[in-house]
Amino acid sequence: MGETTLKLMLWTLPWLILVLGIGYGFSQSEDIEHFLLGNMPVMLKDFSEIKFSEKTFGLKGVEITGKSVVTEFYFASPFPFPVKIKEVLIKGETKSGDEFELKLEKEVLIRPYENSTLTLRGNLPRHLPESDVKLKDARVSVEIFGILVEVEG
Amino acid sequence: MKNAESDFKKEIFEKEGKNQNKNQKPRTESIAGLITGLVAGVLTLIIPFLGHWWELRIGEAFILKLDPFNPEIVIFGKEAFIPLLYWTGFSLKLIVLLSGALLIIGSITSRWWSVHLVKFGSTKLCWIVVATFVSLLALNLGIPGLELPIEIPLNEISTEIVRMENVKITIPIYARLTEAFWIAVFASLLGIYVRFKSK
Repeated sequence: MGETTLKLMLWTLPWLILVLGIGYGFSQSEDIEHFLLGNMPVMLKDFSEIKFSEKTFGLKGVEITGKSVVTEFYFASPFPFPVKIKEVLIKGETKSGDEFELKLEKEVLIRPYENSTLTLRGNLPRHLPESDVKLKDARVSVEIFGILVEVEG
Repeated sequence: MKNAESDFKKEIFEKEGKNQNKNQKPRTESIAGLITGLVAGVLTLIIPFLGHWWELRIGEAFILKLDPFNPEIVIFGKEAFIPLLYWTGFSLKLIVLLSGALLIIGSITSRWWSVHLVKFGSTKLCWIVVATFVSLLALNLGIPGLELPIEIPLNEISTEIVRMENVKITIPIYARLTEAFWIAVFASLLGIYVRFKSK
């Protein structure tokens, strides 16, 4: 075997391995899309199917005992992954203009598609009927896979 | 007649001696070259099994463990499997293993083809290291036409804050070049050294 032949063989070898390897992989795949993207489209489809509706989040009830207020919210998780609700703070106002706050008792971990109830507690300046209490602004902090999302409004 | 014969023998001996000097390097240099070649070859053989070279974590939502031989992508806790990446990595692994083996064979032999095996074995890993680093730099510095909403660091922990109307998103980003990458860089440099020494 000559030097030129060896050089040529050594130059060709890596390309041959690369082409044969990728070619074999392609022959094992269902189609070109699956070969190039794998299971990514299926994974992204799961996320594109996340839908929010009126049934996702809402007020379940308000209970006033003396000055103490307890409110319950329902949350039907539309997420295919777990979500940690770190903080919920709702500011309210009484008919006479006094402000109060309702806070989530503790962090809540909600599993994929789980229905759960969030309990918020706070104190009014004095005992008032439910009709005299109005909820205004809210701040919600949610942790999704280590990413903190804070929504105010 | 005797004189002519001895002159001829002398001439052949001198020629052989010259050729020997041309082909054989001084003993110390040969041993150094042999050891460097062996170390570079063995490291090249080990590198595909050392794990990922670079790790990127965007929270825990997106995890990329960049290994040219077996990249791993996890999105929202689910592992992505892309056949093209898997088979490219598998082929690169074969190429690197072959180059490591040929680098060792080339280093321990002193035949006419040894230098070609060393040349083959010494550069493949280097190309993969360079290509990986250039890709990471492009990701870090930004690719024209491909604007990412967040800055991807090369080797640090940072926090990106994205604001949209009344939504604030805090994204912890962790990027790290691993020991496996630095070992690959070291092996590549050794390979380059062996290549220049073998010329």
